Amino acid sequence: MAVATQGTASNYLQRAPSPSGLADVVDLILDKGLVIDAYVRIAVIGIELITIDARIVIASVDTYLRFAEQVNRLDLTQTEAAGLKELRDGGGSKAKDKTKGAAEGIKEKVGRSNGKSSDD
Amino acid sequence: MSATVTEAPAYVYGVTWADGARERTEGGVADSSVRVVEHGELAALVSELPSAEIRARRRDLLRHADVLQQAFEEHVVIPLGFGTVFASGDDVVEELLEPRYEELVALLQDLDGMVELTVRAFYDEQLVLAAIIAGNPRIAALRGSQAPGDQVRLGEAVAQALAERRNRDADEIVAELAAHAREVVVEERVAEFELVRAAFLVERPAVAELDARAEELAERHGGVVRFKLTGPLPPHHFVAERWAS
Repeated sequence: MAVATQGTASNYLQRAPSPSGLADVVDLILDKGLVIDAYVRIAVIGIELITIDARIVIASVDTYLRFAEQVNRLDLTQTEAAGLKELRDGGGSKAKDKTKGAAEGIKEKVGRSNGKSSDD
Repeated sequence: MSATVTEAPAYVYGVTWADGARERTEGGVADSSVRVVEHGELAALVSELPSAEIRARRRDLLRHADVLQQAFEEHVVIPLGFGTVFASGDDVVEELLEPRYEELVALLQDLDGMVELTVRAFYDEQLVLAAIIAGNPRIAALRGSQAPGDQVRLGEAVAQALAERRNRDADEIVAELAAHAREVVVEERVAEFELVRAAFLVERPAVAELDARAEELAERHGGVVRFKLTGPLPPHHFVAERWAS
């Protein structure tokens, strides 16, 4: 579709003409669209597992310690150039190599947080 | 065209204009074909089910979305939520298309020529934390400190800086993209480093504009924020509210 071929290819913008994968589809069709009083609604068994409950950062000591640990672990020699450059001019050629695969990492994180969300 | 009278339960994907609605021999939920049930100018996209008690599988969710997506390439379509089943094809007419005819026609007219684009944006964890350290001397100083309480203070300062930055960035991103849209639905964030989860209702000619703006935003944030743009999609996020009102 038109969208997929527009513009120059940015490394930081991923385009998809249609929902890619089950999580995207669930986002669109499970609690969206018209809901009509009908004869019956099919129960979606097991899909609860993948509907994504909001897991917003809750201000707690645990969260703070987790952030602190992340920040302590951060290797600034790896990220400083990108971070500072980003502050300066919003660009960052080093960032390109650093961030490859970040989207996958995020997906995995979302997946993991889902499993826990029922305890929250 | 094909208003065959049958007694099989009828799964409904969505409603579109009868003119141009296409049947499909396969690819429906429960491995069914997709047929068109017409009433006046309207058509419901329907699959006959072997039983109303079918168990939805993952594949069925994907197919629901796919049937709507394909129909949408021909015409505007009003998506129904997953899982709507009527007792028969006749009931689709008698309980949906006929009694809600005017509303459905008005909804299709209103959404004609409109598409949905969804945008999600995430921070790269490492890069955003590095930027927060670089821009905040107090956080830089607390980093690695072993003094009692400092780690909690560090984490709290990071959480606060991240929240501020996220709100600022998210507002800016949504506002810039919304300039090309007729309506916006901003959804609650799901992941910790997610900052935007939004759907935009866009006139077809403006799709390229919004796309170019997303590209520009992505370049401006230089990898600290990664964007995902999906569409053009049927207006999944924009029908329920119109229906209710």
